[in-house]
Amino acid sequence: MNPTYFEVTVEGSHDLLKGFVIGFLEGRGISGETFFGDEYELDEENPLQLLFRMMGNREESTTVIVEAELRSQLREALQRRKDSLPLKVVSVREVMGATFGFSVKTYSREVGRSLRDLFSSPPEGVAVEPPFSPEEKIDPDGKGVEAYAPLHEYEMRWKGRVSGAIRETFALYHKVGRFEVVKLGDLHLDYGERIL
Amino acid sequence: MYPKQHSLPILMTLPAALFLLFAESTSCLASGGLHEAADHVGRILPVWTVLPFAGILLSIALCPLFVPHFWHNHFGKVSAFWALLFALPFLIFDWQVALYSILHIGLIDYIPFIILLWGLFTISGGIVVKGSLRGTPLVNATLLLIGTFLASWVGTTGAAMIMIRPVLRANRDRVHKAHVICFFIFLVANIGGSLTPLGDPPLFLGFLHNVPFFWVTKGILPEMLATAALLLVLFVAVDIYYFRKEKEFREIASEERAPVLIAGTYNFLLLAGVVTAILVSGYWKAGHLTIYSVEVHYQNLLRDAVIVILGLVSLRITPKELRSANEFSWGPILEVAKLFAGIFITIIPALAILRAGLDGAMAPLVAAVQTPAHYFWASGVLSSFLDNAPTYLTFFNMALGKVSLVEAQVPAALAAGTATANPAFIGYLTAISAGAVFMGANTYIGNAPNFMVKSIAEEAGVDMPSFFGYMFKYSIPFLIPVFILVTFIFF
Repeated sequence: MNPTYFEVTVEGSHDLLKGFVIGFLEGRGISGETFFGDEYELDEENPLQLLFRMMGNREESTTVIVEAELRSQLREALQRRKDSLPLKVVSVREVMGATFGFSVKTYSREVGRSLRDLFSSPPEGVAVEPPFSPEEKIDPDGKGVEAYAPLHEYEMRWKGRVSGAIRETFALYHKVGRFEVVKLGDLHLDYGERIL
Repeated sequence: MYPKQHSLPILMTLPAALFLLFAESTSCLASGGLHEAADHVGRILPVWTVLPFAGILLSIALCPLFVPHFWHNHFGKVSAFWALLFALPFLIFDWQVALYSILHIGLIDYIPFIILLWGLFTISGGIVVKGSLRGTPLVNATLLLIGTFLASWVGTTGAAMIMIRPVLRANRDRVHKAHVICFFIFLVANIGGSLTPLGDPPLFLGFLHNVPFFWVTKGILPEMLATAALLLVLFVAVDIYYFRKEKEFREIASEERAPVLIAGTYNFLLLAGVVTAILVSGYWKAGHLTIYSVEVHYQNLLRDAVIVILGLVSLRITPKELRSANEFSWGPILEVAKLFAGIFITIIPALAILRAGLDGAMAPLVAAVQTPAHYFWASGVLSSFLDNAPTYLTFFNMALGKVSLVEAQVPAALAAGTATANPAFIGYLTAISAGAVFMGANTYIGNAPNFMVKSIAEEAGVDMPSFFGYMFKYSIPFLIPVFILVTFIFF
């Protein structure tokens, strides 16, 4: 059974929160999983939000996704330190899963092979839609190096969507992001009903 | 007097116009010989006779982007079409001047140009950099620096071929690497080639037209060093930014570690032989033979023969596995041979008109391009979108026409500090050389190795920007401000 995750949104310095959470886990010897929003582009600001923050009209906001048990411990710890730490929990929401879209265009057989391995057998609890069936072209004319009339011998294109359990989807997002030729869409969280 | 243009489509009028034109040039031939007749043509040619030249350059620029398969399979025929569009009417209506002009550009420019490119390509294709490298900003900057200085001695295509695979290998595990390849195009595939006539085809064409071998080395060194240094600093800043974002850039595992070594080093000796042959041809005057009024100098024939022999020696002694490691094939050189055959024939009217200076049909252009800064930007902007070799030759002739010099006077005019020096011409030629070589980096189509590097990088999994992406993300933000700065400092 998949663990339950919560999205905790905290106002205040991102670096301070990250240091606090990591210190908290280390100090208590907790090995629970924690995902920081900045590593998954969940904390992206639009230019207007950035401008407001720089003008001092908006607080920095950080998302951290934690397992249910850790959520309450973390919240209590932040509450206990509220006088000395300028960090304020502004929302806690249950997260059921995550989704992201992506597109690939590559002329590298090696990259094509690696992506095929990743997408054709996704981790349990993760669905790739549509099932992996990339458009691949082999053009024998494109073999060899050319300067003025270059063609590629191999080309792979595909567009798809990944959705599923938090941990596995985040892991796949991270792995796929290692390929420069993969254009990742925004990672969306699927919220549950519980808002704390 | 040449008849005025009328409303019929220009291409339909070409044969008739050339008939009238060459009827006039033939009368000139009777009195002054083929050379004078060919020069006289420049005073009476209308601007639209350069349409086949524009056509072939635009075909090279646009066809790979919009009709890549058609271009891949038929570029030779397209080149022949544009060449014949100019050459056939020329031959039909004044075969003597036509034959002289085509033979002149073929024997003096095209054949030595192709032989040099073939020699450099063949010899540098036998040099392979092996070993494991980790693409940190320091390693990347060092590789770019080595490639930049190598380019002046093995040509930009040769340096790109030698250095691109080590750079790709070093950065294989990095997520963000397109910027490394774009700066590689700036420095190794273009700007690095500015210090000798071996470095970039435009400068070799200058050498063939009497620009002394080491003139560019001294003449453009400050501009080249400033440009390369500024770009390297920008590169390191950008690379550090992306490097800090790398979360999983691992150390090279001990079992993967291999010392960096260069295989096929004897090819450097052959390259030294090429340099020597070219230097000798520049300083030794051994007389000439005449082929249909075209003077072909023995020292140049010897130079070309030596380059061919050195290339053949390289092919013979370099193990096949080294060439395979570079994915060496004759594709790029065949492309150059076919396309430049068309370019060199269609460029004939453009060169003649520009040599005529203010007496030619491009007098307004000659008058408008006044200062070295104008020459730098005019030759540079055209080199960004058209091939830089013909662009250089065009502006070289324009500068000659402007200061009323002939090619034989070029060495004396470039001898700074002597009584014969022509400071205006020195300023123009410095600007033209720098503009044509540096700004070939502005687009993928500015210089032949740009596309080659892009293509090799894409096949190694790098997400190279599109044609406009390259311009808007890299050349406009990085190169153009550097060129503006260089203009203020030097021109």
